[in-house]
This record gives sequence, structure tokens and C-alpha cells, in this order.
Amino acid sequence: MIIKTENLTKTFGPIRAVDNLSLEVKEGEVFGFLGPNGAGKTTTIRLLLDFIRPDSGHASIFGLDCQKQGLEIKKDIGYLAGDVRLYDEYSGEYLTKFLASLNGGFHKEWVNELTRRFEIDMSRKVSDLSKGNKQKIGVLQALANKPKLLILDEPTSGLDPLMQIEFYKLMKELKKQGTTIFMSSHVLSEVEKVCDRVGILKKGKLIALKNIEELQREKARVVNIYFKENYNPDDFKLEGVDIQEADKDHIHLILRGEIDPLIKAMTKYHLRDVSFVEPDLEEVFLKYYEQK
Amino acid sequence: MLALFKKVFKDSKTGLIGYGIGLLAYSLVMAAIYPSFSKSGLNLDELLKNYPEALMKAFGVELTSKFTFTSYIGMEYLNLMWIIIVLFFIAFFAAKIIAAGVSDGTIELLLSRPISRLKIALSNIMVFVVGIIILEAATLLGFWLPGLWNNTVGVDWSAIFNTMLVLLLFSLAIFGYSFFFSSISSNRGKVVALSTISTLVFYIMNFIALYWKQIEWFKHITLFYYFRGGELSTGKPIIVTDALVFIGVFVVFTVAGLWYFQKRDVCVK
Repeated sequence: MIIKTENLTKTFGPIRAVDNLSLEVKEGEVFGFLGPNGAGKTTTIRLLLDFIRPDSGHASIFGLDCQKQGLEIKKDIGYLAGDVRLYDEYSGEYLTKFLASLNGGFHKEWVNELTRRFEIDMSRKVSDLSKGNKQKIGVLQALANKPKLLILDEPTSGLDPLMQIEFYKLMKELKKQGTTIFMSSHVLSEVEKVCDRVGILKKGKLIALKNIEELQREKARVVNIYFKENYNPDDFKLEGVDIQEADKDHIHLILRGEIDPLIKAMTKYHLRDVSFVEPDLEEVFLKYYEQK
Repeated sequence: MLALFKKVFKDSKTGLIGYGIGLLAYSLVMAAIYPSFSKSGLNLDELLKNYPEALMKAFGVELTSKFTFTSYIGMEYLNLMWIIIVLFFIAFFAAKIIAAGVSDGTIELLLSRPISRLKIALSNIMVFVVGIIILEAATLLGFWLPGLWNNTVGVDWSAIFNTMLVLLLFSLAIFGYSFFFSSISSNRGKVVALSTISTLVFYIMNFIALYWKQIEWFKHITLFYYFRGGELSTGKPIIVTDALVFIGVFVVFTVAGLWYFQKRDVCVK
């Protein structure tokens, strides 16, 4: 297990920011930590990085105690804060050089590659950069030591769409190389793109832990099937399927759950067209928030 | 740790140069105008004897001795003005170590790296010690330079060095509690205010204690009581107890600050 928390709890006065959180993140997994602002995502990350100390419970990374063996853990971690704060008076180049000296050196070719891919101007002072460009430097400094574990707090905030695409591409490459990624987000489409598994957090409590496929299966998909021949609507009375409208050569239904039985039912007929309207995870997310 | 020391030193360079030039210039001006004081024919010893003793003590003037360049420098510069100037350097420097990093969020950059909180704080403390020595050197340079072309400025170097040594310890003591405020706070402004106000309160307490015999004991809890600038400028030796009080305050508050920083939550907003 790369990350493991057991009954992790942190309160700030009367607010229970993280409430008995127990979760595990496996090696090579991309884990999405979902929740709106104030759900406890950043607090959990800060507990993992030992910026703050838990009231109770335990957290470990690489099997090492986050509080007692934090320095050992941090050798193999890359961290990107939600709101990247850098030294304003430094250039990207100097900042990278300084952070490299704390990490015992960065891989020069890798830093150059990241600089090129994210089109970072390393010579400019941080104070002269836009929020997006600061975020790019933040991404670079998180990845520069080729960490075994990446902890990313809202990683694409401030990145323009092109850079976001580059970022997702990079995440997929790192996953292939075996990097474990723990990322918090409230942008569900982002999580859907890169994560294997998600945990949904509400008021500090973990209210759902699902594979991305499971979560996607829970999405209500609107399906329209157009037939070249007569069909029997009873063939489509399947588990998880609500028939909304059935005409002579067209059926309009909502699918919640496994798609396989529906595909099998469709293959009995000659079809003219099929359309799936995919709502994003937002709906599923809201469902959890309304239910629990 | 060396990398962090270099970084902190680089960050402090502008401030050090500014304060260094300021102190050097002040020393030069003081040394430059001293001959006109001594040649003016004014009997300064007689003049000063007209002032209340408590006031003279507060300004570090020892009335039992002859008015010399060293006592003049003590009274006009080292025993109060120098401390006020350096107090601001100390307060801003201490605030920068932890509180400013928390309030501007940059401390997360360091804490996410394999470097301990202890090393982060210690490298800053080391830069402070080096910095204060540089400021003292700049001050001394200002006393030394005029002697190159004007030998009428008679400097009692032994007395000056003793004064500067005690000032160094005094600065460390002020830094000790300023660092403690920084380690418990997340607000740079608050640390600067707390450091400067508490130092000024010490000064006022000492001043009041010199006037009112009923609350004379007050002086023992103010740092200024242990800085006997007037006596040092007359060539009297450093009182070991005074030095130990400054060292003690520095050590106790610095250790308390380090301990608290190790334990505290660092919550960047």
C-alpha cells in the first residue's frame, strides 16, 4: 500500500475537517479525492505531508509513519499545492535550482522536458508571471524529482485548456511508468480522465469509494435507438433500463448500470442509428451529496 | 542545510546592505561631528550634571567619568539609537522565518521537501547571527574610518568592543523572543508589532523603575537594565551576569520557539 490512513481525524475548533478517514491507495494507482470546497481534501493532504498533526488516527506513506518518518517519505514525493505559492523574487530557474539542492538534485533532462512541454519561461521572475504560468512552475517543481508518489491538490486550476490536455497526457505517462498519483479535485471531468478510483468526501467523511468504472456505470445515460425493422419493446425491459418512449422504429430509454445486456438486446435487430448522451460525473456526485 | 543557509542569506542580502550602509553612515556622521563637540569649549560634563541621574542612566551616560568620544558615542548612538535601528531589523527578520512563510504560503514549498523544520529554523537563525555580526562590523567601520585622516578622534577600542559585544548579546536576546513570536504566529505584521512593542515596553519599564523607587524591582525584568552601556563606555568590564541573562533569554526563547514550531500545525490560508 502506498497511502494508508486509519481513522484519521482532525478538528479546527468546532469544525471536524477530517472525520475518521480510512482509505488505502495502491501502488501505481491514480486516486481521485473528490469533494466541494471545505470537504476536507486539502486538510487530508496536509495531514499526509505532516504540515498539520491529527487529533487521532494514523497515516502512513510507503509503509512509513507520516509524522515520525516524514523526511524519509518526502524524498520520494512530489507535491503541488492547490494555490501554488512560490518565492516572488526568484526566477523559475533559480527556484528549481534551489529546490533541487534540497532534494539532492533533479534529473536535468526531465526538467528540460517538462519546461518544453509546459512552455515555461524559466528566466522570468515569479512575480512577473500570470497565475497559469505560476501553476506551470508549480507542476514542474512537483514532478522534477521523478517522485514515486505525486500528491496533487486541484492540479489544473489556472492552467489553460491546452496545458490541461498536456497535463492529463503526462499523468497517463507517469501512471504507465508506475507512479502513484493522489489528486484532489472538484472538477469531475478531470477525475474521470485520469483516475482509476475515487473517494468522495463530505464534511470530512468518506461517503463513497469506487472504481471509476463503477462510478461511470452509475451515470444515467440517455439512449436513443433507431431501428430499420419492427422491434419488440419488451426486449428492452432490462434491469437498470427505464423506457421513456417507444415508437414504431425508435426507442428512448435511460440506462443506469451495466451496458452489456442492452447491447445484446440491440444486436437482435438491424439498426439505423444509436446515440448515447453522456452526462458527466457531476450528476453522480450530486446524487451522493443529496443522499448522504 | 547549506543550500537553505545560502538561500536565506541571499533573501536577506538587500536588508543587510541597507541596514549596514545606514549604520555605517550613522557611525561616520557621529565620528565626524565629534571633534566639533570636543572643540566647542562647552563643558559637557558640567552640562550633563544638570540633568536628572535617571535620565542620564536611561541614555547610558555615566556621570562619574570624563566626557570622551566613547561616552559620546554611547550616549548619542550605541546605547539607544543603535538598538532602535537594529530592533527593526531583528523584528522583520524574525517575522520572516516562520510567520511570513505561513502567511504567504511559501513555507509549504520547504515543508514538502526532505528537510526538517529544525533545519529550516536553524539555518535562518544562523543567517541572523551572521547578519548581526555584519551590522556590528559596519558600525565599527564607521568609527574606524575617520581615524585614518583625523587622529583627534580618540577611540577607546577596548570599551567600544565590549559595548559591541554586549550589544550583540542584547540583540540575540531580542531575537530570541521575536523568533518565539514568529514560531507561534501566522501573521508577519503581528510578529513585528509584538517584537517592537515588547522591547519598547522593556525600555519604558526600565525608565520608570529608575524614577520610582517603589517599583525599582521592575528593572530586573527588563532587558535594558542588563545593558550597562554607560559603564561599558567608560572602560568598565562586562558583567558576566548581564551577559548570561542575555544568553539565557536567547537560548530559552529560541528553544521554546523551535519546540513549538516542531509541534505546530502549519496551515497556509
